[in-house]
Amino acid sequence: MAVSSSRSAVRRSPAPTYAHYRQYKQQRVRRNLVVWAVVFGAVTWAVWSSGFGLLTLFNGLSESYSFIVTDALPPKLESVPDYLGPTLETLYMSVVGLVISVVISVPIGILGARNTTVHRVVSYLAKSIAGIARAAPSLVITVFFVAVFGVGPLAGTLALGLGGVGILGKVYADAIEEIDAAQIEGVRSTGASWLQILGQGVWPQFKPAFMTWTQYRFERNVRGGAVIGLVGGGGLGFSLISAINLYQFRDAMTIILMIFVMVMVIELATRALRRRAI
Amino acid sequence: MASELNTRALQQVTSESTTPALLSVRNLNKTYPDGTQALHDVSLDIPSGQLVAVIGLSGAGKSTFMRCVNRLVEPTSGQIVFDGQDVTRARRGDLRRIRRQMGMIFQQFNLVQRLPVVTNVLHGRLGYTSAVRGCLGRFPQHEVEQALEMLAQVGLADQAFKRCSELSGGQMQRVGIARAMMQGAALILADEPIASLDVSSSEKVMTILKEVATAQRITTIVNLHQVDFAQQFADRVIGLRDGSVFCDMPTDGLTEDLIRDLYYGHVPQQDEED
Repeated sequence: MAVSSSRSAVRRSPAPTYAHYRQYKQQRVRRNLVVWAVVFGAVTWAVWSSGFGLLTLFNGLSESYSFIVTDALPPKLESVPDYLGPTLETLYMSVVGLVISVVISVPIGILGARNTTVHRVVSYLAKSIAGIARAAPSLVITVFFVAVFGVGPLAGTLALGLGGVGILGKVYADAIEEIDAAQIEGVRSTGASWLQILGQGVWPQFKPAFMTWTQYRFERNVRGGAVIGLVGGGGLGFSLISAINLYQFRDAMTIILMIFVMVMVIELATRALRRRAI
Repeated sequence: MASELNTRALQQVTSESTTPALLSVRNLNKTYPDGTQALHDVSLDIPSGQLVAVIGLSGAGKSTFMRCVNRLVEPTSGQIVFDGQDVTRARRGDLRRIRRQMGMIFQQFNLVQRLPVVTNVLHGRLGYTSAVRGCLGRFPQHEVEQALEMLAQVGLADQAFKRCSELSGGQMQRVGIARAMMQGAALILADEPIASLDVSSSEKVMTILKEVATAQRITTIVNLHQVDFAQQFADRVIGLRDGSVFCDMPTDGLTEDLIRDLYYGHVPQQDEED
């Protein structure tokens, strides 16, 4: 609450005039101009240097057509059972990676959010950890872990877990910062401690966002887990790169289809689960 | 003439109260970081069992005063003594122990919307519960039964397991009162409890507050916009203007002149209205 009545003895800033209004508008225009100039410049530069052209796109189209039809089709359905193991491996990696991310991200979210942190400095540190994890591309993280732990699902799982901290830590903190302060004040007024305020005031409000984002990250893990295998992280991606390296393109096609089906099934399953949970 | 009245009324109040004050406020000041001086040298004594209405314009400092008492707002200077404990100097653990003895009721109810009604009432026990059990919302059977009993007292027994967000405003405020009662508080702070309610809900809420104050001898401070409600329910009225105590007297002492002075009185020097 603030003293805002016109009768209050508090000093008032001078009433805004049309000149202020003009000044405000001009500031807005100038700021927008800068943004648009930067965006335009960046796009021009990117198109120019990447050599992107509709003609190359068109030529590539016919090449990829012949590749798909002659080399990769039809998919070798009889080898599906061979890839069920790697499929499950991708799923395991996704689940364990998710658990790692959530266990690390919840404290980061709570300590990072300005309204629940114990100190400004802690909030800054927590957000920095998430920021660093986010700055490293997941493929780079995987390559790093492959170098440390060798090729296989362990490297992939750790990469998924650490990559998740970057995203979940940030969105958890943001979601907690958006909750209704009045409800927290109500719980605090009863003499509740920090942990009690978290459990009884913050969590009920944070839960929907927590569910949504955690589910989203699980789906990303399943999709990303398939890619991470390409650089040695295990699972379906590893089978895929092996097949391609051996020129077994019909096997590769089978794996691509299996990735597609797996992702669809997982998304449908999590959606059904979520409807039940909220 | 107003000041004359004030001193007379003040003497009346202080001579009447023979019991030592439950809440004693001395030279309380609050200046917000933006320079707004919300409270200026407020001093008051409130004995046990009184229902005190604090009235005044919006921005007069009513909410700030109330939040300083349980330190949801940090006072700039001054001293608050509650039941022999120095609130202003209390550190974290002591402050929580003091807060649990002061139930607070809010204009916007401040209930946790996504939790069921009964859990919100049980929150009144958090100050007495271990950190982990409180965090997980695990309350013993006798407290749950007590909470259901409180809900019955405010006429909401049948709403206990609904989510708070499904209740009407008047019902939510009664849940707020039940939560405060659940604390077993010696003091209830009600900040504009009826400002967002219709007349009949307001009557109901104020009647319950009055009952709690008289039957259980719980001291109650109510910030009010509506002077008529203050006159109908309060034992004593404190008028705040521009962050200072403008008048302080038993409710019968409140005259039309005084009210006009409090709300419209003494035209400020800068007369350009906006």
